[in-house]
Amino acid sequence: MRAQCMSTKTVEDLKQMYRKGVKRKVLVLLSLFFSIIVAALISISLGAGSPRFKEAVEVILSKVFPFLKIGSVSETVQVIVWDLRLPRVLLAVVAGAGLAASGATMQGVLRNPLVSSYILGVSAAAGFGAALATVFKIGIIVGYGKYLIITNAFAFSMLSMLMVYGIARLRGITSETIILAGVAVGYLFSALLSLIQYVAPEHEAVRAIVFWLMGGLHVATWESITVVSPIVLLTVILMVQQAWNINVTCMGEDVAMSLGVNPKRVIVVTMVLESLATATVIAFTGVIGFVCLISPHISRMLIGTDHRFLIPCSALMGGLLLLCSDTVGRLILMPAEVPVGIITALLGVPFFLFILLSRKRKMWQ
Amino acid sequence: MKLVIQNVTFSYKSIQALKDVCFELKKGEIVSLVGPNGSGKTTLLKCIDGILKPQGGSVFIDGKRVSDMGLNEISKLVGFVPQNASSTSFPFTVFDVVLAGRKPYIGWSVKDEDVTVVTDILNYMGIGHLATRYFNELSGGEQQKVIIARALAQLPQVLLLDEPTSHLDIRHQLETLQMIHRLCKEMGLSVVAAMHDLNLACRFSDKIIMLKDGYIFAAGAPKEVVTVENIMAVFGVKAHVSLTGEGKPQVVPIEPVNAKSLQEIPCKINYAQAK
Repeated sequence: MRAQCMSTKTVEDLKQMYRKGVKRKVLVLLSLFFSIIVAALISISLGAGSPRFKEAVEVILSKVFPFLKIGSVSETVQVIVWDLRLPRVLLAVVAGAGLAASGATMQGVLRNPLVSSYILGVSAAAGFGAALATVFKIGIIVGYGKYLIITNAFAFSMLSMLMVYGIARLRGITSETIILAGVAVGYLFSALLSLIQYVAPEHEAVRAIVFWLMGGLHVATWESITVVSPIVLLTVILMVQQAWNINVTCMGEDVAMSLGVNPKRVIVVTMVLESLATATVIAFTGVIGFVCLISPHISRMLIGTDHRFLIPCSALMGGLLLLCSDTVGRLILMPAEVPVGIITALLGVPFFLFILLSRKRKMWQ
Repeated sequence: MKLVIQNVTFSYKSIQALKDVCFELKKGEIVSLVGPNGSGKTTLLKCIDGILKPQGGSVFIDGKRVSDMGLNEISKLVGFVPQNASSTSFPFTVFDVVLAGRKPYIGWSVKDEDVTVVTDILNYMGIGHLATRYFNELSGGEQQKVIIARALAQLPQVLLLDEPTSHLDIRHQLETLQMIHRLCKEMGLSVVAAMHDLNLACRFSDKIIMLKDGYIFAAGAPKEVVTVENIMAVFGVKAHVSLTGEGKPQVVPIEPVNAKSLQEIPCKINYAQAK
């Protein structure tokens, strides 16, 4: 019996198998990356004043490499492509990536498939901050106009993270304490948000809050890109850098310790990264849920649970999903726009269920 | 001398779990910790691995005090096989689970050497054919072997096992313990195992340590420790003990003492009505 088992795989076979697996994962990442580029170009060439696909490529190339002197595209098309569509497409990708990478990281560290920025209270806090700015023009960081909403949403997200950390610390940082504290803080801010909506003096303000809560990428400008992208890029890189720590923490807190990793530290470090990425994105786009919950699950099915690959995969998947959803939201009721949050759920749920039901494998225990 | 446990004392808040525990373990020796639930077996293992910090006393490995080492340094010396092995939440492949045992040595990227260690161990344990399977889809016995493989991938000098046979069938119990025995003798590992099955503990260990309420009640060779009197005193169980051909004690538990009083309590639950 034993001899049988031993003879099935030689050491070389096993090594080959592992290397093949790694190659396959890299291939998945690359194909996702190229899908995003193609989807972005398609998205740019769809919609009002529709520039053709070729024109879109030409405008981008000529702007990125001005010395090439490509093509002669009209001024209007240039503005549409470069100043309207491209920032929006980029923001969709970056925002999706930041949210999804955060989701993958926190689900792994807290060993819970339901964790997202919703569950941990970040979204509710951001919503409360934004509502405070919208209705009462109150901010905890000095700002004015649209910046007031952004800074406020960001500040309250970070505040909620500190509260979750503080509460969890009282009982010792574990996945349970973080999740329960997150749920509690989330409910607190939701209640405060409802209170603001209830007492808001004007209808317009309430409408504005509701609109903000549904999330949208119409705010995209080059300015927002230059703020959001570096923060998202940096935090995602740092999350990927933590991949091994996340892997072992994901296997249990005692296991992590016996493998030389302090799970408390991993939880705190990743929580800071996650809140930073999520808060930055949400501050600009409003609450976009679901992407951060669903992308890690789809990615886990595609590429496995090794977070060295799962986090990048999740980021790319989130970028792609949000980009597609936003494009559909932009076009489906033209000239009106459907908020992207609605589309992500409407498109994402059937897609997710399809993958879920077509697989026999258990997704978690 | 490999592993020295010196006057280790540990309390969880107000409950004292370990009192003045002392013992030594040589290279290639297996010691089993036996004792009732809550007698401090798991706590002692966690103290040895640095997961818990003892309030008094020290643990030395090769003359180095565990509490002076960082977690990463300890993890290169001590491998730990926890009791609830299947607590992983997301599906990892067997290969990835065992590869995690290389964490103490891995920066970020996996080197060829790591892959070699993992494949060698998988093959050595006869579970190479499971490498691409998902850990959570394996049977309990297979999972236990994978977790032991992960601990071995740390290339430790001390292997700690928390009830390695608790939910295995008799075949897997024997296979697992035989494997541990072989590892211990061939690789010169020192093994500390918390065990519930006294007979298996006697068969596979060089030494038995009997714990009661956090202190060592008896320690020594199996036949010196596993006696009718000791079992009565530590477990409160009347037992019959005989010696096998190899001179190992064999225990047949008969009944808990003071169980009479339990039987005398009238049963007031009306099962017929409850239906």
